[in-house]
Amino acid sequence: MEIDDHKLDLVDLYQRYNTDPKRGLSYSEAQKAFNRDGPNALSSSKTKPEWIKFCRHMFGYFEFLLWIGAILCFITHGFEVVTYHEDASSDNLWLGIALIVIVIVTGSFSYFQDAKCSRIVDSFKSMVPPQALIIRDGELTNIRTEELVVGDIVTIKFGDRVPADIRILESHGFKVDNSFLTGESEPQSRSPEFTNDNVLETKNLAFFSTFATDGFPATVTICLTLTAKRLAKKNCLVKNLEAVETLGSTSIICADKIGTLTQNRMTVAHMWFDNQIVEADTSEYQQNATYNGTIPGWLALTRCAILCNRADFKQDPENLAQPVLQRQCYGDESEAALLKCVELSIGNVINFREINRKVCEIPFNSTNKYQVSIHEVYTDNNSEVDSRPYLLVMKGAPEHILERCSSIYIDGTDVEINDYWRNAFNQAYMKLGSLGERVLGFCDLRLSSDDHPKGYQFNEEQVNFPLDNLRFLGLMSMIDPLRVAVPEAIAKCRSAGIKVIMVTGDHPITAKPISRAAGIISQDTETVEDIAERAGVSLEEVNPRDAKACVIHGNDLKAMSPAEIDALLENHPEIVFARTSPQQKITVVEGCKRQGAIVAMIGDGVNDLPAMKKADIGIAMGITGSDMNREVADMVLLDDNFASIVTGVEQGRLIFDNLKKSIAYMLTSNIPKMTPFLMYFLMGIPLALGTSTILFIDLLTIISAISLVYEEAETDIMKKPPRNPKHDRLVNKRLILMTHGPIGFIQAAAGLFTYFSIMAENGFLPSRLFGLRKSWESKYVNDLQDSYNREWTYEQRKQLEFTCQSAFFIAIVICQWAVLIICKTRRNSILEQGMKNRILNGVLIFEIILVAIVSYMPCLGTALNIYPVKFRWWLPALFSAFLILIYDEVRKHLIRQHPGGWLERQTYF
Amino acid sequence: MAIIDKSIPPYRGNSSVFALDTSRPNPGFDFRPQISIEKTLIKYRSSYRDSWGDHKGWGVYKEQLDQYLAYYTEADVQYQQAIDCNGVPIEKLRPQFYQGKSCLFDINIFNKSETPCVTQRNFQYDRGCPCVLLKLNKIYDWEPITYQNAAQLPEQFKALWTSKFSDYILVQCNGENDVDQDFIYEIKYFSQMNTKTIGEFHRNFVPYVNQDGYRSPLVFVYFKRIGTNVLINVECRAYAQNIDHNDNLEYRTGSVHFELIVE
Repeated sequence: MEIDDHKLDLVDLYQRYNTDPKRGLSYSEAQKAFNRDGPNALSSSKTKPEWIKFCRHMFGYFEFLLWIGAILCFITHGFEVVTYHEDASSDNLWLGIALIVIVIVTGSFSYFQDAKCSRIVDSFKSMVPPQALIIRDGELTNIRTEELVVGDIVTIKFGDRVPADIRILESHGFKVDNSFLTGESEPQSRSPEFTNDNVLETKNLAFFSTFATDGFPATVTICLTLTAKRLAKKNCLVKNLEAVETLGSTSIICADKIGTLTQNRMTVAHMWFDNQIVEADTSEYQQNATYNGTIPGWLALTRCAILCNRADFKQDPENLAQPVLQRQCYGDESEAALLKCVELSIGNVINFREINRKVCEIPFNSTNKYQVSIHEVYTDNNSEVDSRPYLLVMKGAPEHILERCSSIYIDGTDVEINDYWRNAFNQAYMKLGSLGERVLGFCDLRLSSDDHPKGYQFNEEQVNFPLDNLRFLGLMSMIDPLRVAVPEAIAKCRSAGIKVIMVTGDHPITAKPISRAAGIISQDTETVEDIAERAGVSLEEVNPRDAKACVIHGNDLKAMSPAEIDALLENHPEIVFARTSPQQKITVVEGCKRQGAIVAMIGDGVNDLPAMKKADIGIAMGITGSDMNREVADMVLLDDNFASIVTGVEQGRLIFDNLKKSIAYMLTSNIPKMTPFLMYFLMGIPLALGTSTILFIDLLTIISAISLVYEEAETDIMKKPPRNPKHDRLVNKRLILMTHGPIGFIQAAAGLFTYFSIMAENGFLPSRLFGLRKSWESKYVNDLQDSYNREWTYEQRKQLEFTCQSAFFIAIVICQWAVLIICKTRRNSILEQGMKNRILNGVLIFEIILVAIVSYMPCLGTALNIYPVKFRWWLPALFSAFLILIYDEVRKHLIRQHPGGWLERQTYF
Repeated sequence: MAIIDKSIPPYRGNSSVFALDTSRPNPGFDFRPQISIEKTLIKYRSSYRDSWGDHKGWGVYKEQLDQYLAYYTEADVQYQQAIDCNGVPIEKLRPQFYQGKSCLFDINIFNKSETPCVTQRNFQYDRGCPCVLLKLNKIYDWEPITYQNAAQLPEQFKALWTSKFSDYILVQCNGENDVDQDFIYEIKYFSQMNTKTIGEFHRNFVPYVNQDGYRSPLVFVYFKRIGTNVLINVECRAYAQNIDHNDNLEYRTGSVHFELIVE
């Protein structure tokens, strides 16, 4: 398709699409275009028809084997019928039918589970729909990207995903990641100029990019989906299902401060100008003002805050009708706080911005740590406009801003900055910072017409305007209250053995009080600085080992070797990294990973992205997080609630525990299933467990094992340290020993006791059974003698055998019943855990009913070679089941009594 | 099963697994010589005594029959508290059985010079007309309900009815299919009643209650004239009112199946 949109003049382009750069499309036109072109989305690859998916489950590898088995059974039966006519035995027919029933039942089960899972997964996708900020009918509105139509005017900020193929009308420092389209790994700069005929090369086009994330694995285990669904209910969206399990074994959580630990609901709290700290008045009618609203220092500061600010109110009338503080804004939270503050005190901010048009802008980035914009000044004084037509306004990290200034605006005059002012600045900065407030510095400069006459072409790429020797205006500090649930959540993490590290772009002075409040540095631990202050000695005299907590500045971190970082992480349980760049966040994550920890990185900003990718699991904030964050993250906290992570960890651990329990349960039936065959082959004892009964045991085992997935967490789940992924694996030696050792043995013993008893009761004493296999199995021996010299035909002893097998089967099922109950917990008493797992309870009842049906229903049992068993032969199994319960309760009791003791080391799996 | 009686099985009669499918115990029926537990084929070359390569001689069959009959010789039945049951009603015998006594099966009925089924004549194997031994399985406490009049008899026996029949379990062998029947020209039976046209087991030998030295009654089937070099499927059935026949290949009771190939 040929595109010439990038070659057209802007005016022609507007005409072509019937749009206007200021007002955008009208709603009716947009609707028309939408109806014409359809949604703005890539046509998704054709989804497979349901019946094909169904067949997948019916004819998978394993199912295929069963089908072949069934067909072979039918063929054999066919031969038998042809050869022996009505005398043919129907065993093969029944086995074939049983196999087919099993394939169909399990196939349908997995198909429905899969369909359910993919429905859940699909619903996840629609939970965080990508949105685009556009102008329609002259108003800024957020819409879903699919609703975009040709001609819409789109605004994009840092970290946004390009929502469609767009022509750039106006841009400031706009760079796009085109790696998805062209393979260029470096971000490409984009601007309104037409530079190349090639649509990919020209600078004035940017393309819809998807940053394709990995699809969900084809085989989604029920377990993970269930948990993901459970988490989604708690507003914790799992994008990558394996992430749930990873979260469970997380041992270090690195959290960005802003928006993650704090509410990201910034309000301006204090200002410093004219060398005094004043409390900001954020009341609706400015009744609390503690300063004079006409002093030049304050006016200059607020002007800077108005202009050097990209935040804007959402333009729908409903929002605008709200009180200022409750209005929703576009843009960064701290800018929104400034906006609200100045809207309250000065008013008419948007209008002011429109008259003082922005001509150039360098957006905030973490290397510069400042944001600067240049505005055409509008005042009544024409001569002033002519002499100094442009105003440069800058805000950013205070110390960086101060560095760029040569003068400071005090009481309406510019004063040269000297040590006195620097000291005053530092004191104010420290004071505000120690309140845990986020401090921004502001400065400006009127550009003279000599160097920058009216119409001067500012270029943000090759900075052709001064960024030094500016005039310092003052500080504004914002408070970002802690999220309510954070201290509790961090305490929970800590008791769960998870280290929480704060990694923030804020100044150490600001970061420390917040981390104290959040509990990242607990109340009674001290940093080196605290010790020095308390003891009244200099920092050098304090042994760094004495301090359990530390606050590391990004610059110090930069200077550290990996070994030093390792030592730092190892020696300090409580660490805050302040003033960190995205690169340093990676360093922190890498350092943690080097320690063998599983690291989760939580962040909301683009600056957290690299670290989130580097970490084992990246977690994004759903509301404050940028599109890119949500795109990259394995998990999204939809309600931005840090406490959800604790739930996530709990669920992750629960999954692991429950899988372990499931596996343990499944393994326990191995020994009792194997023993009969070993005895058959090694000792020639007639088979104590038949194929159809094994089939039944396996069927019940699978159902029961699945029911364990629904088991509730044990009480200690968040009190034990995270598992060590290297040593504490899903299946370990202790688990194998426990399941195959005592538990397997008791079950096998119960089964064998019942088997030998029934055999003996019917005349075959155990001594007679040894080595009997050959004659027993021969259809041609019709007078096999038992211990009472009675003679048994093949049919008679097969009936006896099937009766014994049924009893063995029932014994195992009853024992497995007890095993299922003991597998509910690994450490807790079952009395404490209770029987709240409804699915598991259902399975227990189902098992008994099923066994009773196959054993006592006349025709069905005979067809499956399962015969009625006298109730007294249920007793040994019932006794064993009781024994299993007691044995394991005692074991768990001793484990609880002697933590870390021999029994725990040997048997706690 | 705390203490298991060494002589009385805990489960007998209808409570035993014997009775599961049929709801009453049903005796199995067996033949000798059976030289392998893997097959029911009697195949030999009448001109050879010893086996030679692929060709089986009749020697092994004779030896097995000799061995089997040796159980019934006086030397072997020394532990038996044998009683002569001739003409004694079962009501009188039954209490004695529970005391450990059992009826003597007189092996000499086969040793009369006129009977072909004797070891001196190699059980006629060398003549190509083998004798096959039939016996009923021992089932503790099981007793037959014999036919009391001609009306109760199966159709094919009605003409043969004598009042003596009421003391006997009857036995008859036939070719299993019409083809097989075609090659069986003449069969004779040698047993206690000695009717020759039909085999019998005297009912006084049951109930079997695990008496020491108990010996099952026997019947010899003499395949007097049969086709040679051909496989003949033979089926022998025991008849009483409470013997059911299950002809299913695997689950056979009340009847026995074997094949004959005489070369």
